[in-house]
Amino acid sequence: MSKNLFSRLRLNPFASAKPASPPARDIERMMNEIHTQTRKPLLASLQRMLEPAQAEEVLQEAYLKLLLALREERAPEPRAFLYRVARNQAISRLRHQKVVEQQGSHVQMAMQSQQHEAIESRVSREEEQGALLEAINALPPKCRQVLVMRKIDGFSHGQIAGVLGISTKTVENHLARGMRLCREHIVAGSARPADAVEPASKTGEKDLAVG
Amino acid sequence: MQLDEWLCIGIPEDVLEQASAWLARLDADHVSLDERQRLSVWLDEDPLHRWAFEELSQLYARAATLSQVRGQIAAPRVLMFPQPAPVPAPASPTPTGEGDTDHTAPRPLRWQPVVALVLIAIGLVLSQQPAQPAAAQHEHSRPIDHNLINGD
Repeated sequence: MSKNLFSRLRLNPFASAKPASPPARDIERMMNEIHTQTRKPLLASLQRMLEPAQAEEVLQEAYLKLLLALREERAPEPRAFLYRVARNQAISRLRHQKVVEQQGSHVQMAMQSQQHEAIESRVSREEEQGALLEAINALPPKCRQVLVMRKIDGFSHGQIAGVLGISTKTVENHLARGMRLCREHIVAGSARPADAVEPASKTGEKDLAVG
Repeated sequence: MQLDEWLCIGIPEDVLEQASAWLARLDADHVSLDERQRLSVWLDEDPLHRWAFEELSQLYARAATLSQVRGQIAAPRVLMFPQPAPVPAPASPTPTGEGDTDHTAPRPLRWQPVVALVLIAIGLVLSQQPAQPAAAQHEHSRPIDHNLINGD
């Protein structure tokens, strides 16, 4: 015990610079607690995205990653870490599945699991910016005005409310709606041509004139 | 985390509504401790809540990066002219100024929304002109470096 204390305080010049990890007992207790609390809801959420077998796999991988992160003290917020890791892994699988579908099953058989990252098709930053720009321009005019004034021109909610003659609650409503509509537009825009959904009203400019 | 077809995938509409409402609330000028605690409770209720909140949050943050292409966005720019607040009668100066710092810093300016509304009107009139084709206005944007939460 005292040896641990000294190494933490770095009084012992021969001790390694790395501080002692949290006791394994504590981590095990934490993992059990988290597992009990989160297993059911997390599995259910993953099953919205993946088939049951895959959901179970992703779940196990996520707990494993959490365990490693706890040991290395990389997860100050364990639950948030767990959920994020599970989500990323699930999306990664979905992305991979889609690419495989498009390229044919022979590719899948030739591949190792480690190559998931390499083969995933990802949009570039520029494409993302373009999609976001389009999404914002497709918003209803008042919604767009509020969102732009807030996020790009940097006004506070109070300032926006004052200038536009609306309540701060309405400002919030516009922001919330703007986020959701942008998301819908981006998702629709990424769909294959056959599945493409008509983007939101293209009468943006006309509406602007009407105000 | 990417802005593509997987954004908020698998998340039901009512959760998206709640998440976006929370995000907008948290973005407000004043957020009470009680509200923050309620958000924390809501986030813990269901993984879907946390996913929706995080992903919409990333989308919301990314909107700010469009400042470089502000000219391509169909929204008038609001300019607010400051109006100086009335200057109070100067206090009698200390004889030798011993130890006292000089308190003649200008008072904060007051904004005049009325002027802003006039400028919005001007902006609306100007923006009725047909938008230039995007290609003509496209500025070559420098690659933007962002530290995203998930280290993407």
